Amino acid sequence: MTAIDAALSFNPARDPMRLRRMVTLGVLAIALILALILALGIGAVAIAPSQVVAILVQHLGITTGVTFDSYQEAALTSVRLPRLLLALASGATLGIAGASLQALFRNPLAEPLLIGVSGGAACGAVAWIVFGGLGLGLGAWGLPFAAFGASLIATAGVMLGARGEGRLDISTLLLSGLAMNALTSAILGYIIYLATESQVRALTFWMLGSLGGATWDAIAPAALLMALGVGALVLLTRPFNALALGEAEAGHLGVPVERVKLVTVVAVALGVGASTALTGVVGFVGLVSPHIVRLIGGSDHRFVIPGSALLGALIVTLADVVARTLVAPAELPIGVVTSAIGAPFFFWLLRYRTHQAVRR
Amino acid sequence: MSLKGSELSVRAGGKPILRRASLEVRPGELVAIVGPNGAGKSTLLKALAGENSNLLGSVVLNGRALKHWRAEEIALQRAVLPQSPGLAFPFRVWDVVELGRYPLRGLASGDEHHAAITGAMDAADVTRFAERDCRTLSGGELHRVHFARTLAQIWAPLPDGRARFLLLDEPTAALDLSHQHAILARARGVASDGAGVLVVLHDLNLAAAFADRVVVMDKGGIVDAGTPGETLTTALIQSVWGVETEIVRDPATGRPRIYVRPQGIAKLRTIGEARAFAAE
Repeated sequence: MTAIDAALSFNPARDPMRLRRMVTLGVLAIALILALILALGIGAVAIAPSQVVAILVQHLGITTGVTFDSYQEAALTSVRLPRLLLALASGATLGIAGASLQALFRNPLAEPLLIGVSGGAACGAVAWIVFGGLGLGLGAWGLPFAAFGASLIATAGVMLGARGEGRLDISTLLLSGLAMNALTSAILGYIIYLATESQVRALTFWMLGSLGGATWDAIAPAALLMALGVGALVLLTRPFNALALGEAEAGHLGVPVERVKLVTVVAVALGVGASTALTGVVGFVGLVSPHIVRLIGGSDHRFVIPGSALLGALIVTLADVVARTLVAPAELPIGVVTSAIGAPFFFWLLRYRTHQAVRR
Repeated sequence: MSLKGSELSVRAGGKPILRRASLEVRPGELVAIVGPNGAGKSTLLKALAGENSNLLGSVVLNGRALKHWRAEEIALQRAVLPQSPGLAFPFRVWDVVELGRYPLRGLASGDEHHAAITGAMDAADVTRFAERDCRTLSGGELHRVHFARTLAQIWAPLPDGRARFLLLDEPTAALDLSHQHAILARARGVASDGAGVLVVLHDLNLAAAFADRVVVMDKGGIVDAGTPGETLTTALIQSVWGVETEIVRDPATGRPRIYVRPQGIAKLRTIGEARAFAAE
């Protein structure tokens, strides 16, 4: 059955959950578009929403009656637009990476930060900065690749540590992730110890996250890596559903389990590594997005994966607006914003769910 | 065409838990594996499902060694219900049964998928739960949902005529009386429909009532195999389970019915004796 047949044969009365999922994705998409226009308009140079739209469509050759000046156009196209695209790409990547790791490890606690992927990426990026590109001279591609390579090594280490007798053990996985985090913290600490004063300030960027480094030149290679990672994960939604039954059962359903694991790990390391290389460690997005999406529309990954991408992008976009405006003209690190808002919200969510469960 | 395991051996923790077991399941028959705890029943079923990585011996599915089939092709030909099926995330009952159609994606039409899912849910008596979150079901109800999933997986005969197989590991353990019989009657029906069915059971009377052949296992090996009437004798039950029984023929079916003699239950210490023994 093709997607068009499926859409035509869809009867909302027969499947209320599917209607709910479609509405949820629609609402998230509209919210994201509104957030984009808001994010593009807010800043030192104020741009009204109508002007934002006018500047954007002008590049498509459409002229509107709305007037804007060249400062506004320059601020929008050379500063805010790349920054916004980075927010969208890394938010969507973190959301999908979180949802995918939770599916792979069959544990709602898994997220890039908790299993050491982000720590590994930060190690790679920080080593690249302090040791001056390690003498490899790869230009704009070097940093994402350093972060990517280190995140892949960290993820592979966690996976190897948690594997016994051919299967992945959940409690060992968390311990293995803790060990990897301790290790990456130690490496980070050692590199910071070696760094000069001025380098330390630059390094703080990686630890706490910021979208301030977004330029068209910088985001092009990273966005390519993120698109590769996300593209691979999006194809795995049905195997992820089967994996919820357990690895052996997914195998009985014909899922090539070992290949799915490998592709997922590589794709997550690819996407999160590239994202972290440009933004630093942005916590909680990968953990919270899939949770909220599942609460609204259930656990089918054909819904959770796109939902987490939209919500992750929405969260990072709005968090960046807060980071830019709260202490303007200075900037808060975005990781501070996502964790400061994300953690209390998550507490509330857990309490709310517990109360719901009691009432049910 | 068959699912055939030859000389299957598995070691775990340095001990053999399956010793040179050979078993063939043919299309159209229901084979029950019975035996005491730790006899190797589940290990044999998992070996035939291709789950053991450290397996000695060969498993042949429809004329080709299991390891030479691709995973997706195996999934078209046989479904497996594990002893304790798990679910990592809150799925609806419908979504879980639909997972059984995973191997047939692109091979069947939307209507065929829908018919298989609704039919399988009806056969496992879970239709009224369709929209429920699986976490809100009881253990037995959840087990039936997973049974429906395996039925949906091998719902229709394959177009090329290859035989289908259904492997069920203690499907009745968590079920109430009526559903124990209902599930085995469905499994029987799957066999009559042309598939081969292998069931691990603890209840000898259920095995006697539903199986074409009974395979008795003890200490990792196959002790006896044959029709229920041939295998389930007082002498065999005494030697394998250490339980004295009386066996009568069911007048309607001619199949054996087994009654355990109270004085014949395995010689375990009573609670009082155990307490006295521990105090010494």
